[in-house]
Amino acid sequence: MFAVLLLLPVWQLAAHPGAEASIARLNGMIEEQPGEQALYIKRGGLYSHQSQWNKALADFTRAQSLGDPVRVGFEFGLMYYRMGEYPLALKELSRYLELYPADTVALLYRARAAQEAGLNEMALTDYQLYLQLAAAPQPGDFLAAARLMAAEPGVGSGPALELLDQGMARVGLQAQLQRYAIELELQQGELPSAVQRCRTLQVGLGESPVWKVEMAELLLLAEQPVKAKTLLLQAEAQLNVLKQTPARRELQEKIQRLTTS
Amino acid sequence: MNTPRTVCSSRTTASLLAFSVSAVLLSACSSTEQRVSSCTGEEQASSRLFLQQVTDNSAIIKWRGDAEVACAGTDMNHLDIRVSAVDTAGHKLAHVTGLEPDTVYYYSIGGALAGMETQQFRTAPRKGEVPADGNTHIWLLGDSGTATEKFRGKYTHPGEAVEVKQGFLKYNLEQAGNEGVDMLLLLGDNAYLEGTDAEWQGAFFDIYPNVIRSTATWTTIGNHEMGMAALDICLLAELPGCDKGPVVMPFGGVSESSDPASYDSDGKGPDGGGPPYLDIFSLPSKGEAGGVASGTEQYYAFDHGNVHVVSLDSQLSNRDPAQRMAMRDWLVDDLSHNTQDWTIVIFHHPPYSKGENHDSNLEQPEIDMRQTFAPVFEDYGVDVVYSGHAHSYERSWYLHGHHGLSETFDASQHAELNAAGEPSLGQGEEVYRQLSPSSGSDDKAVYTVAGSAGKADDENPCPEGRALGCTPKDWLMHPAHRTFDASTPGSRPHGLARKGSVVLDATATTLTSRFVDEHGVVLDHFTITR
Repeated sequence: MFAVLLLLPVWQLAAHPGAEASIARLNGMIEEQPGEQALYIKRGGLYSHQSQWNKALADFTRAQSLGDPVRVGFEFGLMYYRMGEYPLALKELSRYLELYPADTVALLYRARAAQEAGLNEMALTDYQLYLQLAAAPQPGDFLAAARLMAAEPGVGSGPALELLDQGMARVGLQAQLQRYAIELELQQGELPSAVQRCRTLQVGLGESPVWKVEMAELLLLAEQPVKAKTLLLQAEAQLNVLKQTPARRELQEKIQRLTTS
Repeated sequence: MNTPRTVCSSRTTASLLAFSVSAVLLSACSSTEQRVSSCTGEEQASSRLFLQQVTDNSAIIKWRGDAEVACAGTDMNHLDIRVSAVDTAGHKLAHVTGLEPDTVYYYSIGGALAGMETQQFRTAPRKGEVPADGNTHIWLLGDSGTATEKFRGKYTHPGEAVEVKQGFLKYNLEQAGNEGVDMLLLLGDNAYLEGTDAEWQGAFFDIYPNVIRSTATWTTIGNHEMGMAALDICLLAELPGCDKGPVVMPFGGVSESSDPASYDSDGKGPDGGGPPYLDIFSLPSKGEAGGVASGTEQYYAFDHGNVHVVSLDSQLSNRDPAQRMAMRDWLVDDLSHNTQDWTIVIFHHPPYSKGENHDSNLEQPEIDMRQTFAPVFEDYGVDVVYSGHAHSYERSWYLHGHHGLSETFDASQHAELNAAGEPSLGQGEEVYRQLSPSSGSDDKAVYTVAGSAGKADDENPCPEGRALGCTPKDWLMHPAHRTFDASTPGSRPHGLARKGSVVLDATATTLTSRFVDEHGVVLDHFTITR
């Protein structure tokens, strides 16, 4: 077979067919070889990518019955996760992780599946292990874990704030993480800490009208209307000279609401 | 004697986690600055000499070789800034700080007092300002990495990337006053087929050495940066043996993973060190070049004078819903805080394309980029978007609100129209205005697919009963892209099957994009005014 492949122009080998055409071809092959496990795994994956869950589930269920279920492996668990069948996703991913315990992507998806299944303790354990093992965890991973932590009874905002700070220590001061930290500080009634955290974003964001409006909102909560109004006026002045965009129009409307409330 | 300025003297050995090392090193580097004596050594031989993150006050010089220091200065014969390099994932990195904006600096490798004409760069202007010459001159290369593309041990596109480079240089000399390039933007797939370190050497560092040692290179991740993955070859062609079932083999450029650690250079499983791309390039994850900190080198932003550039990750982060939304939220943050005159976005997978092997109706990364990110571009004032992936040239009308499949495009709703009610071309009396006359707002963008800097697809009609690995009937016929008449070389109804690259010029009031073919001929252009 490889010799035959070598006869193909390389542009054909490097092509990337669309899912619809691939499924059409697999349909024909499955008609001819209805007992071939790999065909169902491949087609199920394509269906899953297209959110055709019933077809994907049918293909993977069929594939399980046609050979070693472990061959379906991680992808099968991922399909169940995408289908919303979280207990089944957990089962498959756990079986997979027994064989490949350091597979960080499988850990991440098991964390998400556990979270969706309401098994928050398990989800948190997986998230934390993932964040330890992953070579370069993304900001969104820290955010997801912190949100879960903060929502968990008996855990609360404190550990979530610690996790966010750990995340920022690892990936750098990041507006998304700090914004959620501000939200948690406010939930705890720690308005001064929220203001302080917002100030840390000033270096990166402070020249913009958006940061000024965000800070003004916090200052209004802190009953510092004069300082807040100053920032709102500055933001409005900036917006008046910046080019109009749909987002800036929305921000102008927000400033109007804040200054008249 | 002039006072020597910045030094970065820490050393770190690359590890299995090397692909995250460079960002860490930059922090370590900045924290260990010290002053040392001025430059007294000799120029030492180096390879892979290139620049990264040239800002209005700093620059990164990277190379391979024995040299442990770099020197820089405004007087070529008396370099007065000596910088110790750090080792980072197989490269030496010297972070030169304390520079003046919009100023030419010469540099040497190894500590030589005298620099040379071929080793110089101009720092970026201050944020919001135009350069002294009034223009920011940008060169964009999509899918240029074909110098290392092989088939049966033979190179399949020998010299084609060089032809495109020569075409650009000819254009630049004859039509652009030989203006220096202020930044080089790579659109992904710049080292075929697997993006190995050796392929980066052969397809990039060996092809553009004079350019990349005098201007900063800014990159985005393409599918061929992510090594090999399993593919059923029978999906691509009818072959003997396929009648017995799928034939799964590893191929370059087909990875669907969102995890950089999955990088597999040889089809035998993950290498364990992530893609060489993230080792080679040092990208601003902490907002150190002017954008909002992204926390990852996979996507980032930076400023250059009055231009803001965003590099998104359509290959990895885009494939996972949670990471995709995190990238979107970061983009909203970044663009919310952007007040620059012009905003450029680059990523690999085109939201609108009918390329020969890449259809934005069918491929999920393209669909996700269109549905998730195009609305943000429109709401937050992005002017131009550049992608590669398809090996041809397509350029859209001035678009707004077209987020569906190609057949849902309606020019009357989705494009800026001229007086005759036809889509405006962006040329002559129909130049685009940043503030749309119809909405009074900056809510439109031009999307360009420019993936032919190393090869161009040829027409290869599909034989009866075959739809894959051949030219579909709607090739280069996406209605959101501008039309071409038969007089343009390589023309198709809505695109060009032609090798070439893009040149973008940003002044205080105009942004002009040109597609330049391998002969130095401009085959398309458009201008946005403000």
